Amino acid sequence: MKNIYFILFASLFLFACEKEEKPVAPASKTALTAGLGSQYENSIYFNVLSGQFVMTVGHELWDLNFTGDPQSHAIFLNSSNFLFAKEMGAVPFETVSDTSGINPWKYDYPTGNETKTALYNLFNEDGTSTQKVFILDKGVDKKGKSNGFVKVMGVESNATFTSIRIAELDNSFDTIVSVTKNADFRQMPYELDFFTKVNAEPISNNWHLFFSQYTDFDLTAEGDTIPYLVRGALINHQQIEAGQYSGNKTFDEINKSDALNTELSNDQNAIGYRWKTFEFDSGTYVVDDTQYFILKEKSGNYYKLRFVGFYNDLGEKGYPKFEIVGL
Amino acid sequence: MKGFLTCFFISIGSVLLGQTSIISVYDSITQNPIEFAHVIFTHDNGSKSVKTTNQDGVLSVNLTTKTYFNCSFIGYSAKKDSIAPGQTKKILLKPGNFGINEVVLTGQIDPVSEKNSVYKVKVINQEQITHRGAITLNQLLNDQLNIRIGQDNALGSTIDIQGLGGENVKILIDGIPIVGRQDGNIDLSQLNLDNIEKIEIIEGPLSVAYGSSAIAGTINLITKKPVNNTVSGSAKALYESVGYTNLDANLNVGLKKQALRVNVGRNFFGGWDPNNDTRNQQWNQKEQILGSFGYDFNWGKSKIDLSTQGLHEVIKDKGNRLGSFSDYALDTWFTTRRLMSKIAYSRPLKGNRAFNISFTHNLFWRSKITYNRNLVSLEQAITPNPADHDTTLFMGYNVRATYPFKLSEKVVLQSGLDLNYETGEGGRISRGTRTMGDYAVFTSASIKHKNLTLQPGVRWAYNSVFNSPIVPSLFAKYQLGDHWSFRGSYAMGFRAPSLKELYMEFVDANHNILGNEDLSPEKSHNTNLSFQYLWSDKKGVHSLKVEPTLFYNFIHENIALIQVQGTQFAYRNIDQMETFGAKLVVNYNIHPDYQFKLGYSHLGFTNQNYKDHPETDPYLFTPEVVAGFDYWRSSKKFNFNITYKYTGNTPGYALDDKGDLAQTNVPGYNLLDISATQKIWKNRISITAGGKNLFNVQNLQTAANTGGAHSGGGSRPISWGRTFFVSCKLNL
Repeated sequence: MKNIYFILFASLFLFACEKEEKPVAPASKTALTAGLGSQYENSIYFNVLSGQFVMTVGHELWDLNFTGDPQSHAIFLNSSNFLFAKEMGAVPFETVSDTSGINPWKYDYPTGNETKTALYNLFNEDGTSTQKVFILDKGVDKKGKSNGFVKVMGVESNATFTSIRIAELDNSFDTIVSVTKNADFRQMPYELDFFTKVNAEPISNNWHLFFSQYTDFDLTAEGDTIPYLVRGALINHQQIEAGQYSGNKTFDEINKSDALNTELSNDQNAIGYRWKTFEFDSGTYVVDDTQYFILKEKSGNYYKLRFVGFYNDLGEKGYPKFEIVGL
Repeated sequence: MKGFLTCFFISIGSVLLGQTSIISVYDSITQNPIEFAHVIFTHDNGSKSVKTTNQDGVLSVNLTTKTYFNCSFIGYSAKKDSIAPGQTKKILLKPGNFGINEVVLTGQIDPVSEKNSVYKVKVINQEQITHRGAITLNQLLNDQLNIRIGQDNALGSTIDIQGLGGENVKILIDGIPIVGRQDGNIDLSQLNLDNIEKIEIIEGPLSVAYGSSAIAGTINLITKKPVNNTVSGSAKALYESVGYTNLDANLNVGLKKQALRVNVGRNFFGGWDPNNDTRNQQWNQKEQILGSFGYDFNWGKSKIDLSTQGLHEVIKDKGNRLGSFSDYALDTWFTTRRLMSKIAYSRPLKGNRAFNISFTHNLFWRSKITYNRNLVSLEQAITPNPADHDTTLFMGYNVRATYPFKLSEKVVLQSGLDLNYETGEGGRISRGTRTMGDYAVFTSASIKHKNLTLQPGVRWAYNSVFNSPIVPSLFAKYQLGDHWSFRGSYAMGFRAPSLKELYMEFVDANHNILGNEDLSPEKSHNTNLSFQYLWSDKKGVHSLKVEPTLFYNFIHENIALIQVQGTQFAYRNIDQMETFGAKLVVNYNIHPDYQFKLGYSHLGFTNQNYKDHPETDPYLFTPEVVAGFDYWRSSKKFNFNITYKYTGNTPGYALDDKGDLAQTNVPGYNLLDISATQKIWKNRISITAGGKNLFNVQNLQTAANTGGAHSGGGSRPISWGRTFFVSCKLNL
């Protein structure tokens, strides 16, 4: 009798150990990796026609993006650095000396819509200045440290150049900046410490996807929208349209007729960042490799795209892996 | 062998002193021996000592003079008697009073019976723990009215009492608070029951005696103590079909003046997921190693206890392969160590009171390490990003002393000292180690006038960080005849801001959350009104207990994280909330075979969205039902037990991904457990088998989803589903 109990007790030890893990077969396919870096410090441009990365830049190098389009007056914020702007009203430029003011801090809407940019009210529709002064929060560095504030107002925007006035809040470094428009470029990066154009975006017809950190928004528990830095892929709306495939096929099964039936948009964030989720328990990002995107390049070429990873082989985040196949 | 040892020790004792007295305790109706019956001796000098009978209902004790004692056991009327040195006495206990004579300790001026306690104390004894197959505290409390157990895969098991969260619940081991709250919660699954004699639960504030966080309720885990004059041991094994195993063994060596008890245990859970072949499991693999040590030394009339208990836990949160294009997976290991060491001194005083003082050191250490594991070569390395790893260390030092004295026949006063010093580091606490000292004196008086007992109390404290409130309370109990008793209370409670709320520093590109050193404690006001009706027939075969209760909690200056601007968040004392409810519990026993229990509770709580959305309801309500059935074969060797709880729909409001207010609903669910216990081989072996969560509740789908980068979907985990367990306990 006693032996039976002994065996019962002893047998529990067999259940009570961690199972030995069996090795898996190595991955058979390789994917492209956009190495943003573990601090998301890089922005990367990709050409779908050539399947090549065409430029990698550190996004801390610039602050504003002036439009290349002669018809537009838009000035975009470098949303990779979490920039904001606040309208102070049509007051004398010199009188604005601190960041207090009743208007909210605004950021550029992630769709890329020009009318929803934080600095939209710098210019009237005819390109003349609204005389409104804006405080520009130059965002944060990769550790979250503030880059400081400057004030700006519109001077003029016409078919050849965009011109704005910029100064520190104490009125030092009061400068008029003019950037010549160039229709070959979607946008022209510009930095405000030395007032120089930065070669940080290739000419428009050489790139289609922009892998980067950028500003989107989230909701607080109280339902307020709060801006939030996310990491994903934006599209060059001048060259490409994109949409998410909603059918039941697997990635390999998707063909051109599926692509033709997919609703596409030229919103800059049509691909976006929601192909991954953050798992709070473990503090890791989980990529949903069953979200498939369809891309339509300007000349009519279709592609299918999916994300398959967010980590490099050291286990560092910030390395989106994706598979892109022409249809 | 065991009989031989007992005889050996008894005869040794007899030879040396010739004064071993033997008390055997039996059921007056079935004539069966009563195991674990409490015998409280009142010695000549007025001091008291508590002993329990063994599995044969027998207690042997060395006495030098004729001694009075009070014998009680849950479910029986207590009996007073006396015994002389060397005498043998048979005590028959009459059944049928639902354990109201059981001695309760939590927050009491003296150890008193549950019946005479001015607080309503819920006691869960060892037998109930065994029948539930419960290994850790969360597994035990999920059938209690007004208590809800939640599951969080990172923080473990959380608790709500009376609709208030775990940061408002005080958890004590032998009356000393444990440290190591993660987001306000003590992980209940780290509190093992193997070395626990019984659990006392008091709803409502006990802040006068226990200070911060004893707002919604206090749970006191009372450990098994070394027993003098006996050598005994036991071993237990439990296997649950989900892959949960528990092994536990203890040894007690008791001499005349000193006694030692050692307990070791191990729990292992292999992890489980509804989807069999996934590497990332919803319920993570967990291993716990436990140990405790207790040593008692009788020094003249005084007693010194040394005790220490520890836990080492490793949870492995295994990640899925990082996409089909990668050979790697990220695994996160959470290691927790808890160690609580105590030295306690107790000296009997005149009357039946004692002076008690204890010094306790509490340690809580938790680390999170992320590994990058190659699933092909099965090698792993720590990931290079420092933010993937974290270590938290909390230390607590506690000195607690209580001194009761009698002012008159009707008034007993107790004064107490409760000194706490806590340090914390890691877990996004800014600038290294932070400390908090809380030094309190408290006093309460027990005033008895005829059938009325009043217990006013007050606590003053100096806190090194914030202004501590003066906390008053008043408890009253009125006994009307044999059948009715009334209890009413008002008590203030408070919750100190945590070190994290005071000193948090979480700044990166997306987050700017800073602690607030100017926070003041959250304050609560609780009123409680309860009645108790007791009836039993003359023999004590049929008995009935009916207990309606009303309660109301108001908490103000709640600490909440609010948006200052943009990504900047800060803690402020801004919110307030109310919870209130009614409950009714009916127990009916037919001795010795049947015990029935039925309870209903209706809980109301503030809708926090009402102030911004007046079109919604100001209060929300949720019901609960519990039912229990026990069948005992007359011999007490066989028990069959059914435990049921229905947790009703919990309505709420949340914001959807467009920022609009949407109604949410956590659907109601049923938990049903069944078990049977059989004792064999002269009660030395006890085998329990049963099923847990027979309705197979796993995840609840809440009605609305909320969106955003932080959205977690609308699923709430309750359990890993239906399981079956078998346990075997061997007493030597």
